[in-house]
Amino acid sequence: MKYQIIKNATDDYTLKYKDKEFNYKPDVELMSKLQEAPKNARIKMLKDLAKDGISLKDFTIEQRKDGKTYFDNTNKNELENTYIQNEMLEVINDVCRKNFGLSLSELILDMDLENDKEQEKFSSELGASLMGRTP
Amino acid sequence: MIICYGYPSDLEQMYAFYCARYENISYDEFLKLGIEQFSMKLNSIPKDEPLYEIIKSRTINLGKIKDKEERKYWRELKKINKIPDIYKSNDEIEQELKKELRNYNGVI
Repeated sequence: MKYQIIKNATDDYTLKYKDKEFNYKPDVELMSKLQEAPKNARIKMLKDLAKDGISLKDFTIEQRKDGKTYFDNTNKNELENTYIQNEMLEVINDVCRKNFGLSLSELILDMDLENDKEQEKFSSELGASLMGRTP
Repeated sequence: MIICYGYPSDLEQMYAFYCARYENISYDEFLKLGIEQFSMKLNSIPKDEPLYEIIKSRTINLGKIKDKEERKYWRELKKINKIPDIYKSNDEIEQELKKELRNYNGVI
């Protein structure tokens, strides 16, 4: 096992890897930042689009079939989800820097997590603990 | 999502609930509370708390309320207390739309 996330008590976790050990406490502020991410992401996305003179409506495909109009929002949703995921990653990176002194990707490198499976497992366990759920 | 920590109105209500029920702390101290401990307190929120009614209004099934006036009351509250869609993921919005459509069909 390359790392361990140990729950010492309620809201008290330790991340152990190699000879390193970090204590962290998921709090209300972190939860607030994570749940605020979709809003911040959408505002950022709209600002970016506005800069390029594009509107969100440009990503919706309008189709007419049997006299009815259908709207395909797949592209719009995909773009929004990308922004939301990036924003959440930014929040997680901030938490990692604050608690472990490294961003998530730097932490993964420092832990020598080589393959996707290991990295995904760690990210998911860390995410769960940050949301106050036992990994 | 029945409560949103990222929505300032909800966060303020949670802070008010904590101060009224547990201890009068500053807002900054509240933000530093452990999420699990606070969630446990929130999960056992007493019925006489204003926040309880907000949560109830978001989860109540309007289609199951027989009394017309009561249904109107909860429909209004649901509207007032709705978490703005901008805070939710696209999947959540889609799920809620489906739920609302079901509620709407139940009322008609």
